[in-house]
Amino acid sequence: MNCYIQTDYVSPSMLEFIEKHEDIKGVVLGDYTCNRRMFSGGYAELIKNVGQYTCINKEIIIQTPIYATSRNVDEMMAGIVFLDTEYHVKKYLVQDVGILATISEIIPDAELIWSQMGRNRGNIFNMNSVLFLQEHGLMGMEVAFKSRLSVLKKHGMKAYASYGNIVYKSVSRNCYNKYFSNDTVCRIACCDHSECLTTKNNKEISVDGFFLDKAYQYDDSREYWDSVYDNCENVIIHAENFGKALEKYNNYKEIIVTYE
Amino acid sequence: MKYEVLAPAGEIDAILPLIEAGADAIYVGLKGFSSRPNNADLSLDEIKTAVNICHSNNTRLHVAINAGIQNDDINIIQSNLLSLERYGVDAVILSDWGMLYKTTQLLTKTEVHASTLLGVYNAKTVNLLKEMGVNRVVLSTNLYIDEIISIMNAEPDMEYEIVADGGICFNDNRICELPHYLKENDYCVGCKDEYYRNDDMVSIGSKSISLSEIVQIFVELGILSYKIEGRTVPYKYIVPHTKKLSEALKNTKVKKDTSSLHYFKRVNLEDRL
Repeated sequence: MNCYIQTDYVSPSMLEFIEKHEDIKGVVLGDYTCNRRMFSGGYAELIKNVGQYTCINKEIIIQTPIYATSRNVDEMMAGIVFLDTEYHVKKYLVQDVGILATISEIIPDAELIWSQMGRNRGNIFNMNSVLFLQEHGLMGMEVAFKSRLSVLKKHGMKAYASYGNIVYKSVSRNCYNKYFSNDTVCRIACCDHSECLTTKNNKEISVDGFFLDKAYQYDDSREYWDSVYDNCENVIIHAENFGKALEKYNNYKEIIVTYE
Repeated sequence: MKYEVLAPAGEIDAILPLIEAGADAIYVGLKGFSSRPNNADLSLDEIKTAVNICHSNNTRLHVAINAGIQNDDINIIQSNLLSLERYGVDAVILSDWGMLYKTTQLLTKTEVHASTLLGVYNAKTVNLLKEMGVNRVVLSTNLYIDEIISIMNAEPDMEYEIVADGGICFNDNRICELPHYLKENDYCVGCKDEYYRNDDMVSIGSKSISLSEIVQIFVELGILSYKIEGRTVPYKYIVPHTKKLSEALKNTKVKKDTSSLHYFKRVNLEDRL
């Protein structure tokens, strides 16, 4: 089983840990919404991280952002071309059909994977849609439900099992935090998950950057892992930070050892 | 017709009052396959009646099939699509990539529109839809104006629709799970509760918006269709919004000389002047 780790924040200790663990094949770099949230230096720091993980022979999967508009597409595509040329990065998690088709045209040998955010937002409910996306370069899909795993295998799609399915009440195009112009405070605000209150029901809802009530849900059930083991060769462990990722990696090891 | 006011009907009885209020087109949901509850949707037979009412009043009828489509639903939806074309429905609104692709091949007369739920954010996506044979794109509600301009400049031959009243929300374009409450005298079903950050009590909620006051901007851009949301809402609440938007569009004056409007100068805008 190929294991990848995707965290909301990266840290030097994560790099050291992953270097020491040969069973971790690689990492996912890039934030769902805002690279400044994952890297205080934004895209430049993402590229620096790609260099560091490449140096320790780990595979990189680039997470492309939710909203790909004229405001960020050019920078994103220039970055992707650079990463392909300089670091031979070939795997991309995508969640926008236009971006899928564009990367597929520019980097024909790229492995394009429909990300879990894409699945949440993309209305991909049937195989007609999967086949359409396949025609435009999609090769894999991240899935968190056992029924989907076997279906993808049947249609020749590579499945990436999510360990840590992202859930949220909403994601916005505006950051719910107010510190966007201040790098340090900006990242802290994302980390502290401050609570909001609705006046009508007195109901609390957490804020995490662009997300309301964001959380990762982990399926440890035998049924899910039976299906993972039968139908796919890749697992992406999702977590908020390295500490949580470590905990979930240990869970994953305990689960997977029973199959090996 | 230069611009279209597209009004929602959750029942047959809503159609005539909406047309009288100025709707140029009506949209309804196909029972069982729209993203709204069944009681706000019309059966095939009702849609047949609705087509007759609309066409005899020189009004178009669009049908939304925008629920998540499962594999088991595909054959029945295709059969329904053929029935809708036979009835003379002017357009179907779809939100599923696979279904859009199949439908553009299946239907010969009925227009195919890409729903706002598809999440169109860039020109490349519009280009894919155009190549597929889609006639109209309903733009995502959370695009900035410069992004709309960029899309329309890159793909000027596509027909564009915006949500002009009701569901304008910077939360993820209706693909979210915030509680949806129907408020008294407020037809918006969206997440209208006001949320406040605890530390400074700044509201992060989303309010019901009408673009009537600023519709001129979108007319200048060349947006063709102006949608009012609210299929689940009693039509007595939709009628005044339809009147307001219709009046706003009627009173809009497109500048004859668009040479100074660098971004706004589009091929099909010239034709409409």
